[in-house]
Amino acid sequence: MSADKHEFVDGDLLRSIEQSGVGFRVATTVLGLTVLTAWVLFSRQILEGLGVTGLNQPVAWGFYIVNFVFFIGISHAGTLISAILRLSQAEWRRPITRMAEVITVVVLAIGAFHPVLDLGRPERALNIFTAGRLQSPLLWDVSSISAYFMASTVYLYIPMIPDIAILRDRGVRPRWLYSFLAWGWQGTPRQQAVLGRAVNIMMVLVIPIAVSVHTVISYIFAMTLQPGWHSTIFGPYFVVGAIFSGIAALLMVMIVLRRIFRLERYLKQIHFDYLSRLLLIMALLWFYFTFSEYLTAFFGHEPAEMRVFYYKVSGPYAPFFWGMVVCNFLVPVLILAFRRTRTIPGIFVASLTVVVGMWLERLNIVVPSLANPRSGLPTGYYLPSVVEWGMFAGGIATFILGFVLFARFFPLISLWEIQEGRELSVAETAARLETYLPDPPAAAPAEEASP
Amino acid sequence: MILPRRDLLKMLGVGAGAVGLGGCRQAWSVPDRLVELALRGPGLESQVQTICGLCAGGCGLTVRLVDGLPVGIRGNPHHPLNRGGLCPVGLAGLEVLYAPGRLQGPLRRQAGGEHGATTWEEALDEIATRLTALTAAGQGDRVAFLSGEPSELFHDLARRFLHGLGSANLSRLDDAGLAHELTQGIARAPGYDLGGADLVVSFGLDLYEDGPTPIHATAAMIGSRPTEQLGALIQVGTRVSPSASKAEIFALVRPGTLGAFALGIAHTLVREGGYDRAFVAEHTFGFDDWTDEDGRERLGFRRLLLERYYPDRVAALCGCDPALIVRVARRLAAAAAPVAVAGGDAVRGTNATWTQMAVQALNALTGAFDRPGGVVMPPPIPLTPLAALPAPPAPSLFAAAGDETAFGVDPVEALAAGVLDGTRPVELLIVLDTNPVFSSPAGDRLREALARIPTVVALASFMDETAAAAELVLPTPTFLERWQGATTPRGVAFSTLGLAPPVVEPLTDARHPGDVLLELGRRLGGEAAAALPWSDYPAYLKQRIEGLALSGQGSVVTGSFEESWIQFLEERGWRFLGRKEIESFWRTLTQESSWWNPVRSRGDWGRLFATASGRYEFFSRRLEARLVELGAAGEGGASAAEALARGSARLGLEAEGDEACMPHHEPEAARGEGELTLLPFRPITARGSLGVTSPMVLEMFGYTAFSPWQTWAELAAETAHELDLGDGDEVRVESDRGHFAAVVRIHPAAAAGTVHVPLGLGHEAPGSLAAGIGANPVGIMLAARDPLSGRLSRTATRVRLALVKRRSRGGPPPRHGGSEA
Amino acid sequence: MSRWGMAIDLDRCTGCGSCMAACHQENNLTAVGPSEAALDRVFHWLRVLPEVSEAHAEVTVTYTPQLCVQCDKPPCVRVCPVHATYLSDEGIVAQIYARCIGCRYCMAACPYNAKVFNWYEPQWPGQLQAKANPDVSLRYKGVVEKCTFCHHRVLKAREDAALAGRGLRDGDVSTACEDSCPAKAIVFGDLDDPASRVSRLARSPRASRHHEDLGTEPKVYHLARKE
Ligand SMILES: Nc1nc2c(c(=O)[nH]1)N[C@H]1C(S)=C(S)[C@@H](COP(=O)(O)OP(=O)(O)OC[C@H]3O[C@@H](n4cnc5c(=O)[nH]c(N)nc54)[C@H](O)[C@@H]3O)O[C@H]1N2
Ligand SMILES: Nc1nc2c(c(=O)[nH]1)N[C@H]1C(S)=C(S)[C@@H](COP(=O)(O)OP(=O)(O)OC[C@H]3O[C@@H](n4cnc5c(=O)[nH]c(N)nc54)[C@H](O)[C@@H]3O)O[C@H]1N2
Ligand code: SF4
Ligand code: SF4
Ligand code: SF4
Ligand code: SF4
Ligand code: SF4
Ligand SMILES: [Mo]
Repeated sequence: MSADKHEFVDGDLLRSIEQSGVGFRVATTVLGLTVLTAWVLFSRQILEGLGVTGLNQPVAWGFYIVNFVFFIGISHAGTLISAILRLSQAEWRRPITRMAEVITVVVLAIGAFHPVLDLGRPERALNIFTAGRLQSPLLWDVSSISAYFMASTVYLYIPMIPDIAILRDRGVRPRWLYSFLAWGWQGTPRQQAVLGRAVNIMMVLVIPIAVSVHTVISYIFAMTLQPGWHSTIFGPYFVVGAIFSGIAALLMVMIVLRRIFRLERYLKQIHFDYLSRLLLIMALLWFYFTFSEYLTAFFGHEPAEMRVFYYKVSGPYAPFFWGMVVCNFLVPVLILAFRRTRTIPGIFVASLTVVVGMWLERLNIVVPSLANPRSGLPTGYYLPSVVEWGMFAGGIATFILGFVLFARFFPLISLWEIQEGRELSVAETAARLETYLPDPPAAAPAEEASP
Repeated sequence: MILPRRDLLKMLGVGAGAVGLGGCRQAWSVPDRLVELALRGPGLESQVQTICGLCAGGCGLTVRLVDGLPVGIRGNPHHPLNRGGLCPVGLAGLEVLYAPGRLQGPLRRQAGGEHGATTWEEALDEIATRLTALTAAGQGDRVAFLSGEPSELFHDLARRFLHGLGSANLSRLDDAGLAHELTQGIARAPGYDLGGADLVVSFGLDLYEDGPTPIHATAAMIGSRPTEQLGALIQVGTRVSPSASKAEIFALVRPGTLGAFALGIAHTLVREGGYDRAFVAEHTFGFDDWTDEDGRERLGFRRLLLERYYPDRVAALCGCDPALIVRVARRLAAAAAPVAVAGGDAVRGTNATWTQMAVQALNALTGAFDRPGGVVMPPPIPLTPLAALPAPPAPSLFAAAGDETAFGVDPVEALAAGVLDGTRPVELLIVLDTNPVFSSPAGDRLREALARIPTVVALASFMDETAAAAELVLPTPTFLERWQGATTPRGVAFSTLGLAPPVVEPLTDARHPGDVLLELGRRLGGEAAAALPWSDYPAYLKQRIEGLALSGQGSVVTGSFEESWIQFLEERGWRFLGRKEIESFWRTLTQESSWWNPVRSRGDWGRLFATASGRYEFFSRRLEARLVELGAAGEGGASAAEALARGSARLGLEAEGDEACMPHHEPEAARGEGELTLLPFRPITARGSLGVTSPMVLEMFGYTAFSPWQTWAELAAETAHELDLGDGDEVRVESDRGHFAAVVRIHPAAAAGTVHVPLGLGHEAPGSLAAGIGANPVGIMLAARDPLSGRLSRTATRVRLALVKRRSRGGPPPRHGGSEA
Repeated sequence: MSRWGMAIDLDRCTGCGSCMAACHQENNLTAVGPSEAALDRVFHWLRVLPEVSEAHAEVTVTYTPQLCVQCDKPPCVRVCPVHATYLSDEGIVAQIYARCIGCRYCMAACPYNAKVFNWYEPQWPGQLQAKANPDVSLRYKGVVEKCTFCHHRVLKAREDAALAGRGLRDGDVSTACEDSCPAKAIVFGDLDDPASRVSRLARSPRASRHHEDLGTEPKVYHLARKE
């Protein structure tokens, strides 16, 4: 009965699953080929060595690490935001949590693979488990990223169960997939209670994990003594940057999917408005952190720090540095601060620049510190090779492909949560609002009566 | 089982390596041969002493062998020249030995112009047949020999070989003693007791990098002294070279003015009375004004200095501060045992001979001759003398001819010009271990000339540019594969003899050049064979060593340096007890590889000053006589004074009259158009030309300029600024003759208006690792001569720089304060 | 137990590069070639770095041989995820090539840029492989390497001494860079032995350590006249 209702109301959400078209095939082919190319390049790298990259001495880390930090940052879009929104019972979250969670899982998988790309001996990656040293920040990363990946996968999956059951019930192929994943969901009250509990536990759990992930990623840098890296605010700075880029990525995904799958009915102006305000706040916060970070470096005026500072501010990295400031601060703030420009195209532009800007920020963190060694070597130089660009493209293609495939098999918007919203939210919210409002005067405690 | 200690060690050491290697093989490619060797079990380890033959520096080294294969080179700590130190090129000795691209066997030019394999038999037959034909036709003097081999021992043999043919055409490319001939009357440059000097003033000679024995210089000035007594150094030059970086005073001067700077110092010494009056009075000639045989009043050096070389004028010439000249002079006057040396830029210009004379004049003023820490004659090596040869069969091709120059010719240029214009016909030329097509500014013309010479035989280990132009290319063993007999390097104050058998069998079908000459002699028969009676080169060496053994002089270098000294003294005590047994001496010498004699007889002025006056001549009578001769030629009846003036004019000198015969500043005769002077220098990685066959040496090549595998062009900051060039920019260096590409490096201090370019790269002979790497600045040099020695100048070419590409990679080394803690 | 250290006298060093070459030969380093060199992948365990200073209008250049300073508190060891680089009980920071995963974290963390990486399989053109020092293992692509303080020589010297029935004495162990230096600028030895040459030099008023402020506790001392 309830299934019929969904079908009736939100059938458009299942269109991409039930009648996948040419678009899907073209997209998967193009993306698949790109990903395949990246794998070919990677195998060349394995066979020949990391020499096929543009890395060198002293710039021993480049695109792979930049993209690692970048992708993991984007992953904060999802689970973290969705958890925060759920936790704060923001009702407008309902149509967006699913997408956010998918971003996390897909991008996290991509990001987490990047350090493997970067290894000189990838076949020894498992040494991390057999000979791992817990004192190494890299180990902290491995642990927290795997925890985050597991948590967010579970967190994506659990709320999907009722939707999968709907697909199963509608007989969508491949049936085995849906009946397996639906895990015998019948929508019984007990099941619903368990599901609710699980979601609640996960969302509380996932927040500290998510924060820890980007904090320890920043520790990779901050735990060294290198100029430009050795900074105490790196943890929060990275987390803020991650959420910042995550929201931007989420907005872009929403805008694009809304267009492709004609989700205008679900993703309304209000969602973009709220999220873009959040983005604006993050832009200001990002600026605050950046400012603090560079001002303290400048004021300390340590020679090694200053060398990196000038390298970024007025040296070879000036285009990237100022590009970052423009993309992360000027453009988004100018667009988002005014209602007139806070349109969907405007938001899209702002989000795009933020994503680019945050990538530039990662580049600005990783390369200049390495290119300006303390030890009296000449300034280093780094120009990524075709292989590295190819892998970057492969990463992005994998991301899109992940979405395409997800959209092909699962609803991008949580059917049951929308439904739940329709059925319960209004009443619930009204009740909750009630609790926010001041109590009637009679109920006021006696002490509070003015003397 | 009881293992002898050494064996156990070998097992432990080499076995440990083997485990590592075996492990490697499973994972990744490790040379199979190595793995096999290592897995075979305990290697037999041994050490042999030998001499580095990669340059004339003569450093002693110890080769470590495992199963007879060399696996390591160390400096021999007991060797008096290098005392354990080696330069990067010497350390690359094994890379030279095993280098890719070595000549595998004799080659002969085929009809098509390509070289094809031949055999030693055929090649030697062919040479012998041609030589026989030439001598039969009385054209033995059309045979010439260009040698880059430093050993006197070898040249005694080569001279006899040529003599047997009726030729005196042996040129060693490295004799540079004209200034000594003119002022001291000696043909060979003396030695400088760097170890005993308390101050060395170096003009252009980059003691620690270039120069004949940089490792010895470093050991003598620094390595063998306690920190409180490190040798003090004042450097006068056109760039901050490694020795300039160690100098307590570095005087940066314009190129071509180093002699003027020396004269400015001399002026101050004389004016302030800071010179050695007794020495000047007793052992020099021409200091004060003097009256000649004809009763003419002549200019003395003192007056010349006082009138012409006051600091203000010198400073204006040199582009430095006059106070600097005075400061250096006072420092020199205050030193107890100072010595002045010249080299590098200073001895490569068109005014080189006068520059060297000016520098040597400082030694005369400070009485540095025959004094510990001064200019000395190393004792002769008492080799068995060879039976005297009759008078030279014909004048040497390489002797001065005509009257363009006063005393000599540039051998490469003379050979090339003589062949090309037919005035000096050469039918057969042997080139040994030298690459003048590459290294001489006249290299292009030499290449042309080589094509005209009917038979050119190159004895070389690698196919270099000169060998590529030869008809027959005969492989020589590299130093580790050959018998070596290295005689005292130039400029060293004691005498040494490095004598060592091959460390390994030749890896290629190579023959020792000495054996080649002996074999040719045998094939020629007759007089030639009679002059070369030895069965092989070691037999020749052994005979020459007999004299040394019997003389009882000096000592074989064994044990520690000090021990060998004690032993040496003991041996001197034993001398009168009679002859030493040659067999055991030979055995010890070839085992230990070196002999030395540090004992100089003092007061032997005849060896030091062999001039007519028996004194050091500030005023060179020989130079005067030659100038007069030149001036008088064809102008009968001119007075001596007129002839002298005309002679100087004829050579294009600016100085006239008496000044021309004394050390003076003769402006450098720059050639060509351009805003900069091209100044080549030899980085230490360009020592011994075979260094470029080593990947490591090429990779290190410009290590202090962050320019591996690359030719760079050093510019002073202000020069670069004027030309709007930055560090790392790619430029084209152009002269009127040609151009090459280089990368700009801003140098901390270089004379404005100069561009310094390292020598050593820019080879083109195919098959070499160095082919196509970097550029050879010699290739664009214009011919300008030192009018006295006839040598081609390397410092007279004007060039222009054209920007090709702005810097794309890398950056300059950080400057002071940038980052150091 | 010894604590190995080194003193390098910059007042002696002429920048001749012999130490660089000696290390290259002793420790089986390979050349990367011109195209790789152009990409800044030149590979030395020890480099001679020029430093230019301009004081009172006078330009001076000093050369500093720079190698792994064998930190007693090594930042590189601290970050390695797999224990492929560690501080031995004799104070030598060692690499385990067979375990290193090539993450280059240690390179990024080393303030002295002392570590280098095998971007490709090392090349031995011609017969050059035959000259490899059998005491030092060869490396392969994808791993990090660095100065070992010529650890193999320490082992050999110790065995030698043990067979002679005595302990190690000052001067028994010399490193390849030390051996080849014509200026005798490099002295290697036991810092725990107060009488050793190196500890005496380390106590010299001319001695300092690079980036001492970083707290890495280097065991390489540089000696230079102080102005
Ligand atoms: N610009 C400039 N040019 C100069 C000079 C200068 O100072 N500046 N100096 C001039 C002087 S003084 C000289 S002596 C000449 C030197 O000039 P050359 O004698 O031509 O010396 P290199 O150019 O060093 O080349 C020597 C060649 O000999 C061979 N060779 C060298 N050593 C060995 C060895 O041990 N075994 C074998 N089998 N072969 C060997 C190699 O094939 C090498 O290519 O250059 C002259 N040219
Ligand atoms: N890196 C590198 N270094 C080399 C070589 C190389 O190929 N690579 N080649 C070596 C060769 S072949 C040469 S010829 C030398 C040349 O290079 P230099 O040594 O710069 O030049 P020389 O004039 O031969 O100087 C030899 C020494 O003798 C002294 N001397 C020689 N002749 C005279 C003189 O007439 N008057 C005075 N006052 N002093 C004199 C010099 O002061 C100097 O101390 O460099 C040698 N050094
Ligand atoms: S190349 Fe010359 S200076 Fe270098 S080690 Fe050999 S002999 Fe000595
Ligand atoms: S070998 Fe000695 S003098 Fe030469 S660069 Fe090294 S430390 Fe300095
Ligand atoms: S210098 Fe660098 S590589 Fe050496 S121990 Fe210290 S941190 Fe590690
Ligand atoms: S590169 Fe190797 S040694 Fe360095 S941190 Fe990574 S695993 Fe450890
Ligand atoms: S101590 Fe040994 S490994 Fe270290 S730089 Fe010196 S020679 Fe190389
Ligand atoms: Mo020479």
